Amino acid sequence: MEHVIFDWNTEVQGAPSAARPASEEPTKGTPDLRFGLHARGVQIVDETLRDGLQNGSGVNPPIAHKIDLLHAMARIGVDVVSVGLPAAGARYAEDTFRLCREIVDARLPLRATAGARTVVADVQGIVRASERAGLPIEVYSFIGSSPIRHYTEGWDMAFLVDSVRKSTEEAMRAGLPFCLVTEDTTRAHPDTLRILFRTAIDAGATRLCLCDTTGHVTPYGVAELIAFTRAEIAGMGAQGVALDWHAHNDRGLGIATALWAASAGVERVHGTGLGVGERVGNTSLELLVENLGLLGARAPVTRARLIEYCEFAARALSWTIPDDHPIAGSRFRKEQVQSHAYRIVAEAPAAPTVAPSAGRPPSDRLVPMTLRIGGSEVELAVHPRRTLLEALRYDLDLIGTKQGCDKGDCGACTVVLDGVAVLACLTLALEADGRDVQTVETIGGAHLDPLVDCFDRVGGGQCGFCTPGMLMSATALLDRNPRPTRAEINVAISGNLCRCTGYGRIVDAVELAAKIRRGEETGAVDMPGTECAPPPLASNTRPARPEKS
Amino acid sequence: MAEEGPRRVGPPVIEKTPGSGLVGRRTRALLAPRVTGQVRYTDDIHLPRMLWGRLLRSPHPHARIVRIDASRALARKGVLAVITGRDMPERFGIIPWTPDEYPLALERARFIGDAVAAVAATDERIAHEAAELIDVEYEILPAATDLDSAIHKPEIGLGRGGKDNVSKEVELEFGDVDALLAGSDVVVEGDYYYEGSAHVPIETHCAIGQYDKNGLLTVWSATQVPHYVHRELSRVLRLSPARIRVIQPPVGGAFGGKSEPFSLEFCAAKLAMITGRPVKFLYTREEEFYAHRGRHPMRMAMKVGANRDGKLTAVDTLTHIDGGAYSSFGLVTAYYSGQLLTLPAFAQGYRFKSTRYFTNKPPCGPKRGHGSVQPRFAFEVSLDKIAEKIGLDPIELRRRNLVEANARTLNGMRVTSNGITECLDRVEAASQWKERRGKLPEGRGLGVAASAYISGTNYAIYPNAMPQSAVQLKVDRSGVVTVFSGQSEIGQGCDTLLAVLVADELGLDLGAIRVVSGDTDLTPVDLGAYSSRGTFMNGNAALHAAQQVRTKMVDAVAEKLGVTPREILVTRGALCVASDPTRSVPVTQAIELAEGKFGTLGAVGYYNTPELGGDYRGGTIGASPAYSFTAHVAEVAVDVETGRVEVKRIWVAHDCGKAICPTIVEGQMEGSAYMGAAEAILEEHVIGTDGLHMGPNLLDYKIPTSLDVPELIALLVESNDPEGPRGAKEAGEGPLHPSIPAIANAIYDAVGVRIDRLPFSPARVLAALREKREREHRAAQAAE
Repeated sequence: MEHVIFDWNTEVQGAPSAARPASEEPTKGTPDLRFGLHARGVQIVDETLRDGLQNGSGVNPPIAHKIDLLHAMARIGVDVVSVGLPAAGARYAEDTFRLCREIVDARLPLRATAGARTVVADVQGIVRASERAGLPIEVYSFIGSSPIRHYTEGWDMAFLVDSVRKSTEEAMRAGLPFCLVTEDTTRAHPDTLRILFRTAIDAGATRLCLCDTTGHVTPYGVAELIAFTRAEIAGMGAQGVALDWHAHNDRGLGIATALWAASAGVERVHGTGLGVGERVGNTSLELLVENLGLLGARAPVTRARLIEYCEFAARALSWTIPDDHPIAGSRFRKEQVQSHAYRIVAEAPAAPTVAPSAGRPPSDRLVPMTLRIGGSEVELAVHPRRTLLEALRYDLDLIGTKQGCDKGDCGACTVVLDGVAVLACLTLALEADGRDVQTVETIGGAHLDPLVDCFDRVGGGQCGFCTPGMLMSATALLDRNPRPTRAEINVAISGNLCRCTGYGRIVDAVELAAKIRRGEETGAVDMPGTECAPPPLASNTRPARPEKS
Repeated sequence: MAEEGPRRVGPPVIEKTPGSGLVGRRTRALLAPRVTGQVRYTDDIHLPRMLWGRLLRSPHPHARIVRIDASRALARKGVLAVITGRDMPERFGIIPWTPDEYPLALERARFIGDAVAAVAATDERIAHEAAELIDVEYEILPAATDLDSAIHKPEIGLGRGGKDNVSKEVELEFGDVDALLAGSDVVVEGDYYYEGSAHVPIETHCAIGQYDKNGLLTVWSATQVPHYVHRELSRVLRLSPARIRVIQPPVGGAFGGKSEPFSLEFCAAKLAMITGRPVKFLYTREEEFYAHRGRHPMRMAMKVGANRDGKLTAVDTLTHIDGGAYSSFGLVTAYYSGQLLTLPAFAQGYRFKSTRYFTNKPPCGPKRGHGSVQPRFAFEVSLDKIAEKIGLDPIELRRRNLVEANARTLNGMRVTSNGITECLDRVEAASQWKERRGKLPEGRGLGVAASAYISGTNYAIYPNAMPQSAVQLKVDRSGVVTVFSGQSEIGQGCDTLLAVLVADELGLDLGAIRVVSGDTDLTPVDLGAYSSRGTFMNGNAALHAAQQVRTKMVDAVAEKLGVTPREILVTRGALCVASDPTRSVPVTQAIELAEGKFGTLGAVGYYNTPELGGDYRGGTIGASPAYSFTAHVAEVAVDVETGRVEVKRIWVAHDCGKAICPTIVEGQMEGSAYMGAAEAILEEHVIGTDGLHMGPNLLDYKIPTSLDVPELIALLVESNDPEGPRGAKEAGEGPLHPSIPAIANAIYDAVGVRIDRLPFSPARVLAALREKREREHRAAQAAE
């Protein structure tokens, strides 16, 4: 070997290239950064529970923390999650299985991948976990591809090809998709890559992962490498082989290279929570999500969810969120709380309004969030443990929603969340972040809602304390079933306890309101205050204008 | 029990006016602002700089408090103050003769849940955590956690002077009971037991104290007796009542459970005075069960005699009442357990001995149908047994023993209007009693029961010569009339009632009436929402006030139209000449005319009861200016495999005198019947021998859901009481009474078993069915 590395940043540029068929002109300049065009729909792979665990702390977090993080990933829209490296040991294998089970049981919208060395035994570990959990796992099998790696490890080409082929075939036997991860791709020779890619694709691989494992690449190098790989795949006549990008942060360019790769059209980009990983780390996943959202490549994710994700990641990795972390740092959030959540500061001066130090548990910090209440957006900041009921009643002064037991037994706190009647005392405020909440204040808008009208007319309410919850359960019912039977109404309100009426008149009221909503009855008849009312006082009426002739 | 001085004001003269047609109409309840978050209940009030309070409660049923150390709690960040019994060493109690509670226990905690210390902190969570940091050293004392140990272990010494556990003993006899029973054709005896039940309002207790820089203490409380809270706050805090204002926002259900002061009102006030910041206390659902004051457990041994002609001879009752830790209304409870039984159908002789005992359990008090629901169960089941023995229809048996209208009961109570005959007729017809009873398939049955209840007690809780209720009217030139009333709106609809009565009297529309109620600064004294006194007393006071305004309007209009006042008719919207309705003046103009003629319009009306009651000690307890009457027929289905009783239907006929707001009256009837049915089938407030509540939450303490309720058919009966406002009497409590015995009797009709202990749970029904089968088996064997 002539060189210990092959530099994709420089060696290809402007010269006839080993990497490029001679017929093609080299790509000039940096990748096209019009994200809306090229990066749209790029998928995000969360490597926190695999690559992230290879940080210096050596901590393998408890499974509960991993599961919490898994849910947080789903909430910020992660598409693919690495569920670990089962071959690393019995506990790792067990955790891989548990994470897969959780994806199945909680119906999380996540695809699973797992890491393996390019060794048959490692692939078999993934196969076992997949079969046990009943969840297909994509095999991400990695192998060093740069000359320096081969020199260090003493590998020759025949060994590499044999390893790749056997591993791929092992995955194929189990019916699991296979991705070849070429470590240090940005310093690997095109000829080596060509052989490895061909071997894997010939054996059935459907995905190649290009890696900047040492923080080496420049925008130009990214474009060159991706163009080369695409050309190779096309040259093989292979269909449906997709590309991943996995970058470390050794030069502080992790997030930048991931964005370049996305703009150059890779299908998936990788990251880890808080950028934690080997040495100085990996691409920061929350920043990746935030940036791809802001650039229009993916649906934006609310800050509150990203902060929650960071906090779960920090807990799982025994990591401290730096004060100046752009999303979850206490300094940043202090400013945000001060500017956006002024209500909280004004109304509850005694409550801690800012996270005083990184040492406090996440549950003691305020998290900004938004609610759409009756169609208008409301911003607030809450402790993660605050219930939706507390947020509505104490933070927003929406006191129409009542508390009768605070443990989900009485139904007085029922509100409608995205069209579904839920108990606000058992719903965390953050669960409602960015969602549509209807409370008793919002039904009917400026008018008398038919349900309220009918409760008032037929005696559906007495003390009125359970009534808001009843009204919301009934609202959800009538929205999904405009013509309910009495039995259906009884079931719909069976989670709302009333101590005054004996329920019969409540059912009467809902039946009548349903008729009004269907236009079969007139609403709001016999409103008081008009029959005997005097005319407006003379001084309050505008003098009649003379008729224009 | 009142000191009857010569200057006691009697009932005012109230004219029988025809009204303007609003009374009896199905008007709206006007509750939309209250149920859509536009009106604040107590817990909805947030005041600037408000603190949260939390009580620390005793974990022992009976213990001496040796030492309280609050230093750990006070060191907690966010905690501003901790108080203990020594901060308020003054007894209180709703009955002036039995003050035995401290806001925070002073020397002894008398039940698990007795408040021993209170903390104020900057938020709810800190307050809850800090309360747990208060260290209390207890010396555990022997406890009586059931009726038997209270009776048989007097050495526990919970009663006055510590010599026994007795709270109150009542023994009364009318007629020669022994001779009457001895001469009876049949005597049925039974032992009945009622375990106790809770009110379970959906709104738990809440209070806020605020002490302003002028030294005025304001207490907002979810109470049904703001006037008594005002008095007791003054007494306990040793503060002039002139420096205290009690505001009662709308209350989210009470049912008697909020009819006396509780620890939280005193502690909120005291902590507000100490910290200079408002303090809120909100009971958790668990605390609500421990604060309790629910229906008393009662053990009743009852003998009822009758002759073959269906005439009842005598009733002899021995009752043991489990009062819990404190007196509460217990003195009255002990009387009510006997005194309220003598209507509507009764015997010629009556003896009852009732003893209320203290136990180391959450204190019992008044719940809808105070003291009389339990004996009513025993008595109406006894009547069913007698009817069977003498082969008489149970409704007919009752008919043969009814107390007439305008009569006196055996124990000296004056009865005026009485619609019980119509009530019985109505339920008999509606349920097709004659066609269906005893002829339904196995497992289905019908049962009947009847009852009567007071429309307010004749005398105030504390003896005084002043009116029981008052209403003030303010008349605006716009035609708006504001009604200021001390009555407590707790969901029973008293605000609507006042609006309807005043609007009806003055020819106004309901929308022109504003009602301001339950504020000791703004409204004249009314004693509160208890004893079913609201409609009768507050309604009369409202009429008394409205008629004063009406007279002035009529005079002014008569002058303008040149006729005599007698010729003027008040109609909706206008005052007109009765013989020529085309000559009229709009009501708003009539108000202006009256103001021009007489000066600023306004009036104060009041009501007080006439002198009533039997001429013996305790003879005034149970005396009321009017009695309501109720009859129920219940239809049940009993599953003999599982023992489950399903109440299918209850027909409720209730004589409310006159239904001023029929929809609201029916709501009260149905709500009462439902609550009674729940006590019959589901609810049981059980305290274990360790003094712990068996399930202080809404999953374990089962109140019915919409899927558990029977169909309720409300049948209005109007007997037009001569003294009630427009003839009206109570409707809020009476209709509960017959539910339990009607269901018990229906179960007997369905499957032939008597269950004399509540509730009629599947286990008890199954046990009774098994016992019946064994009995029949033995009888069959004996016959062979």
